[in-house]
Amino acid sequence: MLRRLSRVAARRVVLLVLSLVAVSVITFASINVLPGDVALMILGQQASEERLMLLRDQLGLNRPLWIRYLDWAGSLLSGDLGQSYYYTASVQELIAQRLPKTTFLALSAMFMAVTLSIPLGIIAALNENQRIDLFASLTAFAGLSLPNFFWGIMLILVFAEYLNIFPPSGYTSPLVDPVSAVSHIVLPAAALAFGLMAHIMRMTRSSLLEELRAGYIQLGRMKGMSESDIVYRHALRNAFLPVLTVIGFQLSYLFGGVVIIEQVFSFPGLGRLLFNSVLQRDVPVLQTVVVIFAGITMFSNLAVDLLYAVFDPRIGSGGEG
Amino acid sequence: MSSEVSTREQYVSEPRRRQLADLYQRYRGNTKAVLGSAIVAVLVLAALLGPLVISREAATQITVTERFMAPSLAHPMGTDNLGRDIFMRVVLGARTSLYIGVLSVGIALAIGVPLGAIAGYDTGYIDDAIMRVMDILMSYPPLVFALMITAVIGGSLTNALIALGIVYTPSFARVTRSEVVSVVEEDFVEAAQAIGERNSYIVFSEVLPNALAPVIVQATITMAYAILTAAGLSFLGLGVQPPTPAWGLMISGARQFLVRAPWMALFPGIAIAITVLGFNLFGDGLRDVLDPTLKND
Amino acid sequence: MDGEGGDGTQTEGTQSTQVYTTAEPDAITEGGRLIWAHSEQMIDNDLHLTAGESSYRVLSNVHEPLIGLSRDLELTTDPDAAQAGLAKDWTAGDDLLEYTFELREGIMAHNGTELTAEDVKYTFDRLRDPEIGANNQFIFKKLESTEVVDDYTFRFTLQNRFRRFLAYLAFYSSAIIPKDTGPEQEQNPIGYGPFQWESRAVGDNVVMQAFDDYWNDGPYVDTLEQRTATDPDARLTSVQTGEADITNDIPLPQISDIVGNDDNDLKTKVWNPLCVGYILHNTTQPPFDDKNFRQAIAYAIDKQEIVDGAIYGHGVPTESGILPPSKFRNEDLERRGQDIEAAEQHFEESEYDPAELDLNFMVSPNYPWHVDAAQIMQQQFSQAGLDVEIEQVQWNEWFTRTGNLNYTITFVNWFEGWDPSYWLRNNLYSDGAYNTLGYASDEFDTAMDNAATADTEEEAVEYYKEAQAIGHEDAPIINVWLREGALAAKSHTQGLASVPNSDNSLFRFEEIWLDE
Repeated sequence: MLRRLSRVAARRVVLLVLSLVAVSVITFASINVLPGDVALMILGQQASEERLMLLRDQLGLNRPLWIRYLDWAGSLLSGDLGQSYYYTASVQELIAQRLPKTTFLALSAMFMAVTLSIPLGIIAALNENQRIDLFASLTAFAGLSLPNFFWGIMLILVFAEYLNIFPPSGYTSPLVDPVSAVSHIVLPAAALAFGLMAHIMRMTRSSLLEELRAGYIQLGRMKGMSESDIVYRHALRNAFLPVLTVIGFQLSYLFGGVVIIEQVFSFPGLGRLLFNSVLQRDVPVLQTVVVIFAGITMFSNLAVDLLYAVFDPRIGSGGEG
Repeated sequence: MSSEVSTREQYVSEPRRRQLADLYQRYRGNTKAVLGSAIVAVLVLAALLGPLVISREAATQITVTERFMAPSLAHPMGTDNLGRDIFMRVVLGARTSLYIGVLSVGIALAIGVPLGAIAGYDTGYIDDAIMRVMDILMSYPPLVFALMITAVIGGSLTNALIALGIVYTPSFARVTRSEVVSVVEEDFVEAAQAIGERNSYIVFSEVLPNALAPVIVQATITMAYAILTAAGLSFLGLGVQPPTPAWGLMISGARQFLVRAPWMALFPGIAIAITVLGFNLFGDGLRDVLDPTLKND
Repeated sequence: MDGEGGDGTQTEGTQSTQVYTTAEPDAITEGGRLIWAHSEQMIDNDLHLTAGESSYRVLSNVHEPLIGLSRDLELTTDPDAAQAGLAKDWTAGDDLLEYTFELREGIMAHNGTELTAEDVKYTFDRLRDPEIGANNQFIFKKLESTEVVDDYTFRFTLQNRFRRFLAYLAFYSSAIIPKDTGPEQEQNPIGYGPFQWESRAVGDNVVMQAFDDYWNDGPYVDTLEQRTATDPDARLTSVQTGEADITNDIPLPQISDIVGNDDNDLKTKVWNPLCVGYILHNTTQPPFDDKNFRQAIAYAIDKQEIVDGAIYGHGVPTESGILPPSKFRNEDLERRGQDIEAAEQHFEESEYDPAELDLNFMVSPNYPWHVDAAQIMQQQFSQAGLDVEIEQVQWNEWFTRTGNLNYTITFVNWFEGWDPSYWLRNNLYSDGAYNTLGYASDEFDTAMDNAATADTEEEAVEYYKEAQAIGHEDAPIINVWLREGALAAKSHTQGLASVPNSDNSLFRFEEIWLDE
């Protein structure tokens, strides 16, 4: 099994690398077809023509596009990503400062979503079509239909302004002050979590329902196995896999949502950096952060695929996930 | 679903008509589909009739003395910080949302379905190539991709929906492809190939119509996402310019006045929620109706 | 230092009895970290080169101007003045061409060097160098010579008389920097001010440490941290929750709620004016190359409605852009709006038909109230037959586009308009650093030159008023409002009498202390 797994993994990793390259090309090409004089934007209209030309030279803007791409691609590998056009910091500094924060936010949101929606989904499945099932579906739909920024704003209004329990913005590192870190992360993570919960809950419910109807479960019942045994030992385990897939696919949504939520909560993370770099046309930052986001999505999809391969030997190598 | 060959003499063949009647019965019995389509219908009505009844001037009419008024008979949803009637703006916002939804999904359909059909029909490297590109596109979170595009070509409504259209293309390609793959194996296709029909004819006249059902479902569900993402974009200030009524923009503008005038954010938010809910329900219901054997995703 | 708050408006309610004064020295508790939620985002770090009040507001804590400014907007050498300068004294030659400055002794810079005339000469030379491209170069190019007389004596001569030249030396855009530190100012600002630059992290936070060898009183806090908080609500909330100790600008809709409210935990202060808000026209392109069209705009707008609508009544309409109580302010300029008939008439008389035009009103969402004002003006224009679309543009793109004359009409604010030359010359003179209008009027330039070279102060005042009248007639810009400023601080933040600066805009924190 391990050999097959490693074959699958190897193939997928190679594909991933190639895809990353493709993403970097697409991203670079899209962004650097920018109209507008970058040098003028940085130096302002007072600058003399000599200063402008000097800056263009320094930034390497006069070189042909494909050379600039190779340069940047190489820098992605080496980690020396150049200077931001807007902040007085290097791109890698900015990313190094913000990536952990956004990761913390994303993981917190996923954690919240999973701990709330899986139990809810199980309860809904076990009480199919009863009131609690409908209630669960309703909350799931509500979470799905209301935009995450709306949740964010409402959460700020209720918990930060009226009740004054949580702060409305900002970040504290969990390594520095865990309590403060948690209190700062609760609201933004919750705002994100609501959108995730719906899918996870529904998939848990439907997947579990399907398992419970499956033949071998009936067999188990006839053999006299206890209900909880059936549910927890067999049905859940098999139902788990599609849920995992859904969780994996939510990551793409999560990193889109992070951009908006970080804006709403003034959270100093990667999403806010991305948004600011769009506003400021900060090309070095923008192209790198976009690639990072795409890369994270790809990695998590790969992880889900591999987990799938590990837990479900029915899926052979090279299958679509 | 029966896969009989439609005779080309009649406009709509007998089996086809039976099929449709069947579908309609199932539709009527499915609560989700009915509810969802009702909501969508209201939305479409609002979008189409709204501008006829409510002029743009009326919805953007600034009357400073009437600002922050709570909901009342004169202003069913209250007024905003510039004294504009929120009900009118919510109704006109439906047009903006639907516009974005329809056009971005339209673009995704127009590009994704043919690509998926070609990929599904072909079994060689064209299939691989197309699907690889689709996979790569799918690794961009939609909002991030839209942001990237707006950084390049500017943050206007048209640009936003082009970006979203591109981003949603892969999911249509995938759905189409997998449908086409299963249909291609059916007998009638072999028969058509045997009598020498051109491949393109086979794909577009024989295969596609049978593959359409999941695509339609995908379209409605993607509409919901498109409207949600577009609201996010206008919330961030990229998309529509003031004073155009757009739900996301209205919520963004309401942030400063949450305590003083919560209705400014509440009603556009509910509007978005109902719209998204409507499309999701409709899509879910459609899926049940069009193929009751399909599993929930 | 002078204690009075400089706020014209006293608030009502329980706050009204509290007048902000500085306490006796022994009442001051030193230490702590002052967190300031700044309403704007800094652009560049180099004081001489940066555009935007946002940068000056932060950098003014790091630098020191040569000349001081009293609350009454008089130039001063008084070390206890609201804004004190590095010069102990100066004398002007009879013809106002030669100026000799005597520097205070023992003033230390952040890099450990002592202030000498060499540093002043270095600064002046940097400011006049066209290669460097400083904002004030178009003024400092009028220098004939700069000379180090001795360690503490500096002399310069002007090519022609320029009465308000000294006023420029009270602006932070001409602050003195230590010799040879020019090239590193962008990376690491160094000056003679009360706070030493430590870091600018991630574009949002700037951290400054108290400079122990600061020549004047203070600073009392150990660390000053500036946090960018462009979201009006977020910055107020951060002060309310204690995340920040002070914010320099609270959201306008909230001012009435917060100021004068029975909230013991929050202190507020309101002052007028903070800045002038004005419309800019690109006079190099149709339709605003036609004076009639520009005047039509002036007649179409109802300034009071804009004040009520966009800034919630926290301002007054104005015709002149010079801030009161300056003696140079021309109060006799004709009030035009709102007169729709006159507007239509002027449109008629112009060479363009408003109905055929497709114009964009550019505005930056960094100032939400400008966006609101634009929408109100959009409606007012349409009453006179002109339809415009609103175009939101980010702050530094706004700068670039106005600099490149790549816009048609826009709205923005100008701070520190207490000096007539700074306001008028920068914006309307043909070679003004901020003349993003393409405006060049011989008449106007002549009036300004006359004002600069006038023999007496009274004559100068008359000429500046004349210049304002010419500008008003030509209407390349249309002044709309004088806006109130309002700050909010946590109750433990003391010394609020000292902010804002004499110019009503900058925030120097050396007299602020935290009572915790």
